[in-house]
Amino acid sequence: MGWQNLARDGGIAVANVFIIMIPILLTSALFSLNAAGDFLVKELRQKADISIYFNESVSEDDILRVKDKISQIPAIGKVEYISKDMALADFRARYENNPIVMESLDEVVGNPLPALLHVGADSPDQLEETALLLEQDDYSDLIYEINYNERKEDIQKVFAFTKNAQKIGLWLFAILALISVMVTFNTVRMAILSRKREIGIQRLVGASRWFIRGQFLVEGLIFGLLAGSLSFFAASAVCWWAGPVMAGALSGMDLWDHFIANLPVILAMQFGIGIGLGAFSSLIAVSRHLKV
Amino acid sequence: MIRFNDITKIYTSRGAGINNVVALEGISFGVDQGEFVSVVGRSGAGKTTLFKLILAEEKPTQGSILFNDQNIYKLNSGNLNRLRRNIGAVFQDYKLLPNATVYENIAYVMKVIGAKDSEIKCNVPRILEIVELEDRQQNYPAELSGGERQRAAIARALIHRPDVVLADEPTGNLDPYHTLDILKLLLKINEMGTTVLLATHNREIVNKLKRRVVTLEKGKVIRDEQVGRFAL
Repeated sequence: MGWQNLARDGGIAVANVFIIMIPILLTSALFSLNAAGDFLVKELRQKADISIYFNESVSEDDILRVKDKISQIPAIGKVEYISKDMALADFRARYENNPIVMESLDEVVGNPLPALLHVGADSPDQLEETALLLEQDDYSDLIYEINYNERKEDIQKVFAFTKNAQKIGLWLFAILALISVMVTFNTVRMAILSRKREIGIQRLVGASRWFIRGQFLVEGLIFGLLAGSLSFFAASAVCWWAGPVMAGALSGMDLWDHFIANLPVILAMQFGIGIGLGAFSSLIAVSRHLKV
Repeated sequence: MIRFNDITKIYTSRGAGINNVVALEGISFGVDQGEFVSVVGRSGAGKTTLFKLILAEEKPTQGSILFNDQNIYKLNSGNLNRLRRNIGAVFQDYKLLPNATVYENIAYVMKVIGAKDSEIKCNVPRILEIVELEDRQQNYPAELSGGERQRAAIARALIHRPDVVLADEPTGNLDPYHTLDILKLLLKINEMGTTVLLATHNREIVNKLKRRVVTLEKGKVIRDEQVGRFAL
Protein backbone atom coordinates (compact mmCIF):
# COMPACT_ATOMS: atom_id res chain seq x y z
CA MET A 1 0.00 0.00 0.00
CA GLY A 2 3.00 2.29 0.60
CA TRP A 3 4.02 1.92 -3.06
CA GLN A 4 0.45 2.69 -4.22
CA ASN A 5 0.30 5.83 -2.10
CA LEU A 6 3.64 6.94 -3.51
CA ALA A 7 2.45 6.48 -7.07
CA ARG A 8 -0.59 8.59 -6.27
CA ASP A 9 1.48 11.57 -5.01
CA GLY A 10 4.27 11.24 -7.57
CA GLY A 11 5.27 14.89 -7.80
CA ILE A 12 5.77 15.31 -4.09
CA ALA A 13 7.61 12.01 -3.94
CA VAL A 14 10.09 13.13 -6.60
CA ALA A 15 10.75 16.38 -4.76
CA ASN A 16 11.32 14.51 -1.52
CA VAL A 17 13.75 12.11 -3.10
CA PHE A 18 15.83 14.96 -4.49
CA ILE A 19 15.89 16.70 -1.14
CA ILE A 20 17.24 13.57 0.57
CA MET A 21 19.82 13.14 -2.20
CA ILE A 22 21.55 16.39 -1.27
CA PRO A 23 23.08 15.33 2.06
CA ILE A 24 23.92 11.93 0.58
CA LEU A 25 25.85 13.48 -2.30
CA LEU A 26 27.53 15.92 0.05
CA THR A 27 28.76 13.06 2.22
CA SER A 28 30.06 11.23 -0.85
CA ALA A 29 31.88 14.38 -1.94
CA LEU A 30 33.44 14.75 1.51
CA PHE A 31 34.52 11.12 1.42
CA SER A 32 36.27 11.68 -1.91
CA LEU A 33 37.73 14.98 -0.74
CA ASN A 34 39.18 13.28 2.31
CA ALA A 35 40.74 10.59 0.15
CA ALA A 36 42.16 13.17 -2.27
CA GLY A 37 43.60 15.12 0.65
CA ASP A 38 45.29 12.01 2.05
CA PHE A 39 46.65 11.15 -1.37
CA LEU A 40 48.08 14.62 -1.94
CA VAL A 41 49.73 14.65 1.45
CA LYS A 42 51.30 11.27 0.76
CA GLU A 43 52.58 12.51 -2.58
CA LEU A 44 54.02 15.64 -1.06
CA ARG A 45 55.76 13.65 1.64
CA GLN A 46 57.39 11.44 -0.94
CA LYS A 47 58.69 14.49 -2.78
CA ALA A 48 60.21 15.95 0.35
CA ASP A 49 63.93 15.38 0.07
CA ILE A 50 67.41 16.82 0.64
CA SER A 51 70.19 16.97 -1.93
CA ILE A 52 73.66 17.18 -0.35
CA TYR A 53 76.36 18.39 -2.73
CA PHE A 54 79.96 17.59 -1.83
CA ASN A 55 83.16 19.51 -2.54
CA GLU A 56 85.27 18.50 -5.55
CA SER A 57 88.04 17.09 -3.40
CA VAL A 58 85.93 14.82 -1.21
CA SER A 59 86.60 11.11 -1.73
CA GLU A 60 83.94 8.53 -2.34
CA ASP A 61 84.76 6.87 1.02
CA ASP A 62 84.02 10.11 2.88
CA ILE A 63 80.75 10.49 1.02
CA LEU A 64 79.73 6.91 1.84
CA ARG A 65 80.63 7.56 5.50
CA VAL A 66 78.24 10.50 5.55
CA LYS A 67 75.62 8.29 3.86
CA ASP A 68 75.90 5.70 6.64
CA LYS A 69 75.59 8.39 9.27
CA ILE A 70 72.44 9.76 7.75
CA SER A 71 70.90 6.31 7.27
CA GLN A 72 70.99 5.82 11.05
CA ILE A 73 68.57 8.69 11.65
CA PRO A 74 65.16 7.13 12.52
CA ALA A 75 62.43 7.35 9.83
CA ILE A 76 64.90 8.41 7.14
CA GLY A 77 63.83 6.81 3.88
CA LYS A 78 66.08 6.29 0.93
CA VAL A 79 69.65 7.63 0.90
CA GLU A 80 71.00 7.49 -2.61
CA TYR A 81 74.62 8.17 -3.63
CA ILE A 82 75.01 9.78 -7.04
CA SER A 83 78.61 9.97 -8.24
CA LYS A 84 79.94 12.78 -10.45
CA ASP A 85 79.74 10.53 -13.51
CA MET A 86 76.17 9.51 -12.71
CA ALA A 87 75.22 13.15 -12.16
CA LEU A 88 76.67 14.10 -15.54
CA ALA A 89 74.87 11.24 -17.29
CA ASP A 90 71.56 12.31 -15.65
CA PHE A 91 72.12 15.88 -16.68
CA ARG A 92 72.83 14.92 -20.31
CA ALA A 93 69.74 12.73 -20.42
CA ARG A 94 67.53 15.51 -19.00
CA TYR A 95 68.73 18.19 -21.39
CA GLU A 96 69.54 16.16 -24.48
CA ASN A 97 66.90 18.05 -26.46
CA ASN A 98 68.20 21.44 -25.40
CA PRO A 99 71.11 22.30 -27.78
CA ILE A 100 72.11 25.45 -25.95
CA VAL A 101 72.60 23.64 -22.65
CA MET A 102 74.41 20.77 -24.35
CA GLU A 103 76.71 23.18 -26.20
CA SER A 104 77.52 24.97 -22.96
CA LEU A 105 78.30 21.68 -21.26
CA ASP A 106 80.64 20.66 -24.08
CA GLU A 107 82.58 23.87 -23.71
CA VAL A 108 83.30 23.21 -20.06
CA VAL A 109 86.45 21.26 -19.35
CA GLY A 110 85.91 18.15 -17.24
CA ASN A 111 82.80 17.34 -15.23
CA PRO A 112 81.41 20.43 -13.49
CA LEU A 113 78.79 18.52 -11.56
CA PRO A 114 79.48 17.49 -7.97
CA ALA A 115 78.75 14.12 -6.38
CA LEU A 116 75.69 14.19 -4.14
CA LEU A 117 73.52 12.31 -1.72
CA HIS A 118 69.75 12.27 -2.21
CA VAL A 119 67.93 11.82 1.10
CA GLY A 120 64.18 11.09 1.38
CA ALA A 121 62.10 10.88 4.60
CA ASP A 122 58.59 10.07 5.81
CA SER A 123 58.12 13.51 7.23
CA PRO A 124 59.65 16.90 6.73
CA ASP A 125 60.68 16.85 10.40
CA GLN A 126 63.22 14.10 9.73
CA LEU A 127 64.66 16.10 6.87
CA GLU A 128 65.02 19.10 9.11
CA GLU A 129 66.90 16.96 11.62
CA THR A 130 69.19 15.71 8.85
CA ALA A 131 69.90 19.22 7.62
CA LEU A 132 70.75 20.36 11.16
CA LEU A 133 73.09 17.39 11.62
CA LEU A 134 74.97 18.19 8.42
CA GLU A 135 75.37 21.84 9.32
CA GLN A 136 77.65 20.87 12.21
CA ASP A 137 81.39 21.54 12.02
CA ASP A 138 82.25 17.88 11.37
CA TYR A 139 80.88 18.16 7.90
CA SER A 140 81.67 21.76 6.94
CA ASP A 141 84.80 20.74 4.98
CA LEU A 142 83.01 18.05 3.04
CA ILE A 143 79.75 19.67 2.03
CA TYR A 144 79.46 22.29 -0.64
CA GLU A 145 75.70 22.90 -0.39
CA ILE A 146 72.56 21.45 1.17
CA ASN A 147 69.43 21.84 -0.96
CA TYR A 148 66.47 21.32 1.32
CA ASN A 149 63.25 20.99 -0.72
CA GLU A 150 60.88 22.48 1.77
CA ARG A 151 57.52 20.75 1.57
CA LYS A 152 56.55 21.23 5.15
CA GLU A 153 54.47 24.31 4.47
CA ASP A 154 52.72 22.69 1.53
CA ILE A 155 51.88 19.62 3.56
CA GLN A 156 50.53 21.71 6.41
CA LYS A 157 48.45 23.73 3.95
CA VAL A 158 46.91 20.57 2.53
CA PHE A 159 46.23 19.24 6.02
CA ALA A 160 44.62 22.50 7.09
CA PHE A 161 42.54 22.69 3.94
CA THR A 162 41.31 19.12 4.29
CA LYS A 163 40.51 19.59 7.97
CA ASN A 164 38.62 22.83 7.38
CA ALA A 165 36.79 21.32 4.44
CA GLN A 166 35.78 18.40 6.64
CA LYS A 167 34.51 20.73 9.38
CA ILE A 168 32.53 22.84 6.93
CA GLY A 169 31.31 19.69 5.24
CA LEU A 170 30.09 18.23 8.52
CA TRP A 171 28.19 21.40 9.39
CA LEU A 172 26.70 21.51 5.89
CA PHE A 173 25.73 17.85 6.19
CA ALA A 174 24.04 18.49 9.53
CA ILE A 175 22.09 21.44 8.15
CA LEU A 176 21.11 19.67 4.95
CA ALA A 177 20.17 16.50 6.79
CA LEU A 178 17.97 18.55 9.10
CA ILE A 179 16.31 20.21 6.11
CA SER A 180 15.74 16.80 4.49
CA VAL A 181 14.21 15.47 7.68
CA MET A 182 11.92 18.50 7.96
CA VAL A 183 10.82 18.35 4.34
CA THR A 184 10.15 14.60 4.45
CA PHE A 185 8.41 15.02 7.81
CA ASN A 186 6.16 17.66 6.28
CA THR A 187 5.42 15.54 3.25
CA VAL A 188 4.41 12.57 5.37
CA ARG A 189 2.38 14.86 7.62
CA MET A 190 0.54 16.27 4.62
CA ALA A 191 -0.04 12.77 3.35
CA ILE A 192 -1.52 11.80 6.72
CA LEU A 193 -3.80 14.85 6.70
CA SER A 194 -4.90 14.37 3.10
CA ARG A 195 -5.63 10.71 3.72
CA LYS A 196 -7.62 11.25 6.88
CA ARG A 197 -10.71 9.73 5.32
CA GLU A 198 -8.82 6.66 4.16
CA ILE A 199 -7.16 6.28 7.56
CA GLY A 200 -10.55 6.63 9.21
CA ILE A 201 -11.94 3.83 7.07
CA GLN A 202 -8.95 1.65 7.82
CA ARG A 203 -9.47 2.15 11.54
CA LEU A 204 -13.18 1.49 11.26
CA VAL A 205 -12.74 -1.84 9.56
CA GLY A 206 -10.19 -3.01 12.10
CA ALA A 207 -6.83 -2.43 10.41
CA SER A 208 -4.02 -2.93 12.87
CA ARG A 209 -2.06 0.03 14.15
CA TRP A 210 1.03 -1.10 12.31
CA PHE A 211 -0.87 -1.53 9.05
CA ILE A 212 -1.99 2.09 9.27
CA ARG A 213 1.36 3.45 10.42
CA GLY A 214 3.34 1.06 8.28
CA GLN A 215 2.21 2.47 4.96
CA PHE A 216 3.69 5.87 5.85
CA LEU A 217 6.88 4.33 7.18
CA VAL A 218 7.19 2.37 3.94
CA GLU A 219 6.81 5.61 2.02
CA GLY A 220 9.66 7.19 3.97
CA LEU A 221 11.84 4.13 3.42
CA ILE A 222 11.11 4.19 -0.28
CA PHE A 223 12.07 7.87 -0.47
CA GLY A 224 15.35 6.97 1.19
CA LEU A 225 16.02 3.95 -1.03
CA LEU A 226 15.32 5.89 -4.20
CA ALA A 227 17.49 8.77 -3.02
CA GLY A 228 20.31 6.34 -2.21
CA SER A 229 20.03 4.66 -5.61
CA LEU A 230 19.96 7.89 -7.57
CA SER A 231 22.84 9.30 -5.52
CA PHE A 232 24.86 6.19 -6.23
CA PHE A 233 24.32 6.54 -9.96
CA ALA A 234 25.06 10.26 -9.89
CA ALA A 235 28.27 9.76 -7.90
CA SER A 236 29.35 6.92 -10.23
CA ALA A 237 28.79 9.08 -13.27
CA VAL A 238 30.70 12.03 -11.81
CA CYS A 239 33.65 9.89 -10.71
CA TRP A 240 33.80 8.04 -14.02
CA TRP A 241 33.81 11.29 -15.98
CA ALA A 242 35.88 13.44 -13.64
CA GLY A 243 38.41 10.75 -12.68
CA PRO A 244 40.75 11.04 -15.65
CA VAL A 245 40.03 14.76 -16.04
CA MET A 246 41.02 15.62 -12.48
CA ALA A 247 43.92 13.16 -12.20
CA GLY A 248 46.35 15.91 -13.22
CA ALA A 249 45.17 18.25 -10.46
CA LEU A 250 45.24 15.44 -7.91
CA SER A 251 48.81 14.33 -8.61
CA GLY A 252 47.66 11.22 -10.44
CA MET A 253 44.84 10.12 -8.16
CA ASP A 254 41.96 8.76 -10.27
CA LEU A 255 38.59 9.36 -8.58
CA TRP A 256 37.04 6.49 -10.49
CA ASP A 257 39.65 4.02 -9.23
CA HIS A 258 39.05 5.29 -5.71
CA PHE A 259 35.29 4.90 -6.19
CA ILE A 260 35.63 1.28 -7.34
CA ALA A 261 38.11 0.43 -4.60
CA ASN A 262 35.71 1.75 -1.93
CA LEU A 263 32.45 0.58 -3.50
CA PRO A 264 31.08 -1.32 -0.46
CA VAL A 265 31.73 1.63 1.84
CA ILE A 266 30.19 4.12 -0.57
CA LEU A 267 27.12 1.93 -1.13
CA ALA A 268 26.63 1.41 2.60
CA MET A 269 27.06 5.11 3.27
CA GLN A 270 24.66 6.32 0.60
CA PHE A 271 21.91 3.81 1.23
CA GLY A 272 22.40 4.03 4.98
CA ILE A 273 22.01 7.81 5.03
CA GLY A 274 19.07 7.74 2.59
CA ILE A 275 17.12 5.06 4.40
CA GLY A 276 18.02 6.56 7.76
CA LEU A 277 16.77 10.03 6.87
CA GLY A 278 13.63 8.73 5.15
CA ALA A 279 12.63 6.35 7.91
CA PHE A 280 13.46 8.79 10.70
CA SER A 281 11.38 11.62 9.21
CA SER A 282 8.41 9.32 8.65
CA LEU A 283 8.64 7.94 12.14
CA ILE A 284 8.49 11.41 13.66
CA ALA A 285 5.59 12.46 11.41
CA VAL A 286 3.63 9.30 12.19
CA SER A 287 4.27 9.56 15.92
CA ARG A 288 3.17 13.16 16.07
CA HIS A 289 0.29 13.28 13.65
CA LEU A 290 -1.19 9.81 13.43
CA LYS A 291 -3.10 8.86 16.52
CA VAL A 292 -4.29 5.28 16.16
CA MET B 1 -24.91 -9.16 22.26
CA ILE B 2 -24.29 -5.52 23.18
CA ARG B 3 -24.85 -4.32 26.72
CA PHE B 4 -24.61 -0.66 27.82
CA ASN B 5 -23.97 -0.38 31.56
CA ASP B 6 -24.53 3.05 33.05
CA ILE B 7 -22.70 4.85 30.26
CA THR B 8 -21.89 8.51 30.77
CA LYS B 9 -19.87 10.60 28.37
CA ILE B 10 -18.85 14.16 29.18
CA TYR B 11 -16.86 16.23 26.73
CA THR B 12 -14.69 18.57 28.74
CA SER B 13 -14.27 22.13 27.65
CA ARG B 14 -10.77 23.50 27.06
CA GLY B 15 -11.70 26.42 29.23
CA ALA B 16 -12.35 26.45 32.94
CA GLY B 17 -14.83 23.53 32.79
CA ILE B 18 -17.89 25.75 32.76
CA ASN B 19 -19.00 24.63 29.33
CA ASN B 20 -18.55 20.85 29.64
CA VAL B 21 -20.99 18.96 27.46
CA VAL B 22 -22.83 15.96 28.87
CA ALA B 23 -23.40 13.94 25.72
CA LEU B 24 -24.72 10.80 27.47
CA GLU B 25 -25.85 10.20 31.02
CA GLY B 26 -26.57 6.91 32.73
CA ILE B 27 -27.36 4.95 29.55
CA SER B 28 -28.22 1.32 30.25
CA PHE B 29 -29.84 -1.07 27.80
CA GLY B 30 -29.05 -4.19 25.84
CA VAL B 31 -29.31 -5.32 22.23
CA ASP B 32 -29.78 -9.00 21.43
CA GLN B 33 -28.42 -10.83 18.43
CA GLY B 34 -30.57 -10.42 15.37
CA GLU B 35 -32.47 -7.39 16.68
CA PHE B 36 -33.27 -4.30 14.67
CA VAL B 37 -33.11 -1.29 17.00
CA SER B 38 -33.73 2.30 16.05
CA VAL B 39 -31.99 4.84 18.29
CA VAL B 40 -33.92 8.05 17.87
CA GLY B 41 -33.66 11.59 19.12
CA ARG B 42 -33.17 15.14 18.01
CA SER B 43 -29.81 16.38 16.77
CA GLY B 44 -27.47 16.51 19.73
CA ALA B 45 -29.35 13.85 21.69
CA GLY B 46 -26.27 11.60 21.78
CA LYS B 47 -26.93 9.06 19.04
CA THR B 48 -23.61 9.49 17.23
CA THR B 49 -21.72 9.56 20.52
CA LEU B 50 -23.29 6.23 21.43
CA PHE B 51 -22.12 4.71 18.15
CA LYS B 52 -18.62 6.12 18.60
CA LEU B 53 -18.46 4.45 21.99
CA ILE B 54 -19.46 1.09 20.51
CA LEU B 55 -16.67 1.44 17.94
CA ALA B 56 -14.26 2.42 20.74
CA GLU B 57 -13.46 5.65 18.94
CA GLU B 58 -14.23 7.37 22.22
CA LYS B 59 -14.03 6.21 25.80
CA PRO B 60 -16.90 6.76 28.23
CA THR B 61 -16.36 8.96 31.24
CA GLN B 62 -18.13 6.30 33.26
CA GLY B 63 -19.62 2.89 32.67
CA SER B 64 -18.84 0.07 30.32
CA ILE B 65 -20.01 -1.53 27.10
CA LEU B 66 -19.98 -5.29 26.76
CA PHE B 67 -19.82 -6.83 23.32
CA ASN B 68 -20.43 -10.57 23.47
CA ASP B 69 -19.72 -10.32 27.22
CA GLN B 70 -16.34 -8.60 26.70
CA ASN B 71 -15.68 -5.12 28.04
CA ILE B 72 -14.55 -3.36 24.90
CA TYR B 73 -12.46 -0.83 26.82
CA LYS B 74 -10.35 -3.54 28.37
CA LEU B 75 -9.42 -5.10 25.05
CA ASN B 76 -5.84 -4.94 23.79
CA SER B 77 -5.25 -3.43 20.36
CA GLY B 78 -5.33 -6.80 18.58
CA ASN B 79 -8.70 -7.74 20.08
CA LEU B 80 -10.01 -4.25 19.49
CA ASN B 81 -9.21 -4.59 15.80
CA ARG B 82 -11.04 -7.93 15.80
CA LEU B 83 -14.03 -6.24 17.44
CA ARG B 84 -14.10 -3.56 14.78
CA ARG B 85 -14.02 -6.23 12.09
CA ASN B 86 -17.14 -7.61 13.66
CA ILE B 87 -18.97 -4.31 13.26
CA GLY B 88 -19.98 -2.71 9.98
CA ALA B 89 -20.52 1.05 10.03
CA VAL B 90 -22.56 3.20 7.66
CA PHE B 91 -22.61 6.99 7.83
CA GLN B 92 -24.65 9.87 6.55
CA ASP B 93 -21.79 11.09 4.35
CA TYR B 94 -21.02 7.57 3.00
CA LYS B 95 -17.24 7.88 3.61
CA LEU B 96 -16.38 6.28 0.27
CA LEU B 97 -12.93 6.66 -1.28
CA PRO B 98 -13.51 9.14 -4.12
CA ASN B 99 -10.70 7.81 -6.34
CA ALA B 100 -11.76 4.19 -6.15
CA THR B 101 -14.61 2.45 -7.97
CA VAL B 102 -17.48 0.81 -6.14
CA TYR B 103 -15.76 -2.55 -6.51
CA GLU B 104 -12.45 -1.13 -5.25
CA ASN B 105 -14.11 0.58 -2.31
CA ILE B 106 -15.60 -2.70 -1.17
CA ALA B 107 -12.49 -4.75 -1.95
CA TYR B 108 -10.36 -2.22 -0.06
CA VAL B 109 -11.81 -3.34 3.24
CA MET B 110 -10.87 -6.93 2.55
CA LYS B 111 -7.33 -5.91 1.55
CA VAL B 112 -6.93 -3.95 4.76
CA ILE B 113 -7.84 -6.98 6.86
CA GLY B 114 -5.49 -9.16 4.86
CA ALA B 115 -7.90 -11.20 2.75
CA LYS B 116 -6.55 -13.18 -0.21
CA ASP B 117 -7.32 -12.09 -3.76
CA SER B 118 -9.37 -15.22 -4.29
CA GLU B 119 -11.59 -14.37 -1.31
CA ILE B 120 -12.03 -10.84 -2.59
CA LYS B 121 -12.97 -12.05 -6.07
CA CYS B 122 -15.51 -14.41 -4.53
CA ASN B 123 -17.10 -12.16 -1.91
CA VAL B 124 -17.31 -8.74 -3.55
CA PRO B 125 -19.65 -9.80 -6.39
CA ARG B 126 -21.85 -11.60 -3.85
CA ILE B 127 -22.23 -8.44 -1.79
CA LEU B 128 -22.81 -6.31 -4.88
CA GLU B 129 -25.69 -8.62 -5.71
CA ILE B 130 -27.24 -8.19 -2.26
CA VAL B 131 -27.15 -4.39 -2.54
CA GLU B 132 -28.13 -4.53 -6.25
CA LEU B 133 -25.11 -2.64 -7.54
CA GLU B 134 -23.67 -5.23 -9.93
CA ASP B 135 -24.12 -2.87 -12.88
CA ARG B 136 -22.40 0.00 -11.15
CA GLN B 137 -19.33 -1.72 -9.76
CA GLN B 138 -16.90 0.03 -12.10
CA ASN B 139 -18.31 3.49 -11.44
CA TYR B 140 -16.74 6.05 -9.12
CA PRO B 141 -18.73 7.54 -6.24
CA ALA B 142 -19.12 10.85 -8.05
CA GLU B 143 -20.96 9.01 -10.82
CA LEU B 144 -23.54 7.51 -8.47
CA SER B 145 -26.77 8.82 -7.03
CA GLY B 146 -27.04 9.35 -3.28
CA GLY B 147 -28.92 6.13 -2.83
CA GLU B 148 -26.39 4.18 -4.85
CA ARG B 149 -23.54 5.62 -2.84
CA GLN B 150 -25.22 4.61 0.38
CA ARG B 151 -25.78 1.12 -0.96
CA ALA B 152 -22.09 0.95 -1.83
CA ALA B 153 -21.30 2.06 1.72
CA ILE B 154 -23.59 -0.62 3.10
CA ALA B 155 -21.91 -3.20 0.88
CA ARG B 156 -18.55 -2.13 2.27
CA ALA B 157 -19.93 -2.43 5.79
CA LEU B 158 -21.14 -5.95 5.09
CA ILE B 159 -18.23 -7.39 3.13
CA HIS B 160 -16.40 -8.75 6.15
CA ARG B 161 -19.63 -10.39 7.44
CA PRO B 162 -20.04 -8.44 10.65
CA ASP B 163 -22.40 -9.50 13.40
CA VAL B 164 -23.59 -5.92 13.83
CA VAL B 165 -24.24 -3.04 11.46
CA LEU B 166 -24.31 0.47 12.90
CA ALA B 167 -26.08 2.88 10.57
CA ASP B 168 -25.72 6.50 11.68
CA GLU B 169 -28.29 8.61 9.85
CA PRO B 170 -27.80 6.64 6.62
CA THR B 171 -30.70 8.37 4.91
CA GLY B 172 -29.89 11.89 6.12
CA ASN B 173 -28.79 13.06 2.65
CA LEU B 174 -31.32 11.08 0.63
CA ASP B 175 -34.69 11.82 -0.91
CA PRO B 176 -37.73 9.79 0.25
CA TYR B 177 -37.46 7.34 -2.66
CA HIS B 178 -33.87 6.40 -1.91
CA THR B 179 -34.56 6.49 1.83
CA LEU B 180 -37.07 3.70 1.38
CA ASP B 181 -34.58 1.74 -0.68
CA ILE B 182 -31.98 1.91 2.05
CA LEU B 183 -34.46 0.92 4.72
CA LYS B 184 -35.52 -2.11 2.72
CA LEU B 185 -31.87 -3.07 2.37
CA LEU B 186 -31.24 -2.73 6.10
CA LEU B 187 -34.27 -4.87 6.83
CA LYS B 188 -33.05 -7.45 4.33
CA ILE B 189 -29.69 -7.54 6.08
CA ASN B 190 -31.41 -7.96 9.40
CA GLU B 191 -33.48 -10.84 8.06
CA MET B 192 -30.23 -12.53 7.11
CA GLY B 193 -29.25 -12.53 10.78
CA THR B 194 -27.21 -9.36 11.21
CA THR B 195 -28.03 -7.15 14.18
CA VAL B 196 -28.81 -3.61 13.04
CA LEU B 197 -28.63 -0.42 15.08
CA LEU B 198 -30.05 2.51 13.21
CA ALA B 199 -29.60 6.07 14.48
CA THR B 200 -32.07 8.50 13.01
CA HIS B 201 -34.10 11.60 13.72
CA ASN B 202 -36.52 10.78 10.89
CA ARG B 203 -39.95 10.12 12.39
CA GLU B 204 -41.39 8.54 9.26
CA ILE B 205 -38.68 5.92 8.96
CA VAL B 206 -39.13 4.83 12.55
CA ASN B 207 -42.87 4.65 12.35
CA LYS B 208 -42.72 2.65 9.12
CA LEU B 209 -40.29 0.09 10.55
CA LYS B 210 -42.45 -0.97 13.49
CA ARG B 211 -39.40 -2.29 15.33
CA ARG B 212 -37.84 -1.63 18.73
CA VAL B 213 -37.19 2.04 19.40
CA VAL B 214 -34.83 3.50 22.01
CA THR B 215 -35.46 7.21 22.42
CA LEU B 216 -32.73 9.56 23.61
CA GLU B 217 -33.21 13.09 24.84
CA LYS B 218 -30.43 15.26 26.21
CA GLY B 219 -28.19 12.23 26.58
CA LYS B 220 -30.67 10.07 28.51
CA VAL B 221 -32.87 7.14 27.50
CA ILE B 222 -36.40 8.35 27.99
CA ARG B 223 -38.18 5.46 26.29
CA ASP B 224 -37.41 1.93 25.17
CA GLU B 225 -40.27 0.16 23.37
CA GLN B 226 -40.27 -3.16 21.57
CA VAL B 227 -42.59 -1.93 18.83
CA GLY B 228 -42.09 1.74 19.20
CA ARG B 229 -43.06 4.96 17.56
CA PHE B 230 -41.06 8.16 17.19
CA ALA B 231 -42.56 10.39 19.85
CA LEU B 232 -40.67 13.33 21.34
